[in-house]
Amino acid sequence: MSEIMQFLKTVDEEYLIGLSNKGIVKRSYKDLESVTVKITEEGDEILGQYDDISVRLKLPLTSSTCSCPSTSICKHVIMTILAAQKVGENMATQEGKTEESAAGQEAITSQAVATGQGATSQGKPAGQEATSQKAVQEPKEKTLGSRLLEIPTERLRKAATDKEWMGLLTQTDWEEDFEIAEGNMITVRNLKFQWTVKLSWPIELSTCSACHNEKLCVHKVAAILAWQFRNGVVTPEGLAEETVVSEDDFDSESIPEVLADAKALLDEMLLVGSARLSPETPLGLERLSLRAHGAKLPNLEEMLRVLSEMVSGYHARRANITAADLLRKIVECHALLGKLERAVSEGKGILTFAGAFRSEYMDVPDLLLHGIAMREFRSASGYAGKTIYFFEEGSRAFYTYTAARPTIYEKAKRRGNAGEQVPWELPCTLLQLCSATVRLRDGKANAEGRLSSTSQAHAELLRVGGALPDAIGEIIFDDFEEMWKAYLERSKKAQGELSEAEKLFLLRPKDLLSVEYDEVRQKSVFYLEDFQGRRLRGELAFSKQEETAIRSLERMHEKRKRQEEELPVFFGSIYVRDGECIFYPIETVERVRLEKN
Amino acid sequence: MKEQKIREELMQCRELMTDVFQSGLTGLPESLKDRCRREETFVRQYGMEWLADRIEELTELLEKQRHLIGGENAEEVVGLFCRIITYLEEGIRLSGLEEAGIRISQREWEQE
Repeated sequence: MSEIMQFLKTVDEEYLIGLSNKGIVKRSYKDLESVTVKITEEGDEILGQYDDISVRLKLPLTSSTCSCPSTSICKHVIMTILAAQKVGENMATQEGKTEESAAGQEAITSQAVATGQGATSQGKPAGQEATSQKAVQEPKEKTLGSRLLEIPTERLRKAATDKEWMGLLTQTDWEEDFEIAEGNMITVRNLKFQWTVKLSWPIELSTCSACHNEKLCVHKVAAILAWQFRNGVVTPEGLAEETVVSEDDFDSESIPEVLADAKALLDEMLLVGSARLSPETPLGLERLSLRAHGAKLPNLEEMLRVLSEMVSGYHARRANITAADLLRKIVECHALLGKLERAVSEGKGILTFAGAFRSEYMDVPDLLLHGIAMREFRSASGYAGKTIYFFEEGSRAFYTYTAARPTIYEKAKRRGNAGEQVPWELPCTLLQLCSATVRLRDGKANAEGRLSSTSQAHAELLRVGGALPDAIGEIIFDDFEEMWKAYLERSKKAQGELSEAEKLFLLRPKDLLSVEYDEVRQKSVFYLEDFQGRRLRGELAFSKQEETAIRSLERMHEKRKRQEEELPVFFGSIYVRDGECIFYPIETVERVRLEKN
Repeated sequence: MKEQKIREELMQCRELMTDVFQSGLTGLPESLKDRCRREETFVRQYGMEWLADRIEELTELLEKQRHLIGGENAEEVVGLFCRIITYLEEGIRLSGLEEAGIRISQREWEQE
């Protein structure tokens, strides 16, 4: 059997999806029911013909060609692969029958010899005896797995850009983010972003469902590293250490200066005390933040910038910045400086603490997004807009899209939705998007599930409104203790620093016990009860944006008292304050949208 | 609830350290010195020996600072102070999570 036929035996549906996409593969299966593809082997290539279509399969399969106008892997190529596989199966059956009878002969002969010698092979089936003898004679070939383990880190490092590599090292949980299955290929599935890489040998034969890139892309690099990590060949610390701090990666002269100057300023702030902080302090911190950016230290840059804003706010006596908040941030920054200093002096591990630019957007595979909520916001840093929350059917995860505009220059009151663009050229409004179903291809998202409005993405508006998919039922909590366990687990994984998406939950309470408005603290406080009699406190601070929601909660409670209405499912954020779990509601999802759940 | 008491004690200690921060780490006013001594005792009663020892150490260092012109101990004081704050923040966070977990498991409790 030719090499290409041998390879086609290992190709499964997921591999084909990686080559093209799910839609093409489905169509290919369907069309094959009514069409016969004529398959001819020509050396290392396979020719497939039907009607006026001619396909030439070559290795790697991405270099296969078709007479149709398509420039990428079309359905004709997929159909030819499937047809060739069928032919290969038939050939194998024929060969197998021939081999079996030959093996049978051998076994009878060897058994006769063995019996004569009082051999140890008594009782073994004839085929197995012959097979094991044959195995001893063949030279031992390296397995796919072992070849992947031998790929040097340097080669993988070169295949990724600096940003991609740093993103991999600092934002990947090598234990939890991947599911690996071994077979003829090694299938690595990223559970966070839901892409799949099928690893094969040579490595160019591997496929990637995220970018379909035939080269060694960042997803394939991540998949290989995940395999190497699983087998103990690499560790995250070892990877960071092996990535040598050089002139190309970091400016090794300016970093110690930046760290020393930052430490000096922070020490001075602590020594003089918050009551005597110089009015020049915010500017000094901002300057250091810029220097940290230049030295490629994103974590430090962000921390110094936030601290600068906090000191300004503290000087301006803003109620939401206290001395305790300031102290916490200074100490956090101090701790990071200590880790960076140690990494620089030891000459290793700096990447672990330098961080990656967290807003880094990465490719995600095709997403099926269902809008469930929209929230208006107005931030203290001078931005306002809307955030749409989506439930992604494949990964059961939440994604967000934020349309924001700066308000700092707005003098007149805004009218309408000017400045709040609908992403991906979708033919709907933002309001419609929050209850729409969208298929997004070639999209990008960051580690916190925020979707980019990149023009490279292609979106299809499937419908507006209607029922949510059954899958959402799997993540609705009607037991608050279970919800709490899930929160703790996420908190543990994130080492205490949960992203906004990780705090999101869907709750189906049995009852809404009370809704009261606290005039002093200017917030609405309510209690939900679950089916086990447990209670969860909810709070909604008063603002112009939340006024409608507060009224809505009050009306809902009134109707519940009169037993007029079934409660909806609540969507919102969970956080902990003063030893209590608090729920911040973003939206309610009417039961009619969840009628199957 | 034991967890609540521990968290409240840690928060009280954090409040004290915030007042120390407001005053600055170049010395320790008498009023703050007395509070530090008292806090050290309370914290020891709760079994938090490490924290109590660090508060004692900080109090002594800040006392020394008052009499030093050049601030020779500055780095040591700042380092110790940061370790105490880190301990307090993490302690408050973890005890808060424990307390919240206990509350949510309860079936009968009064609304605030």
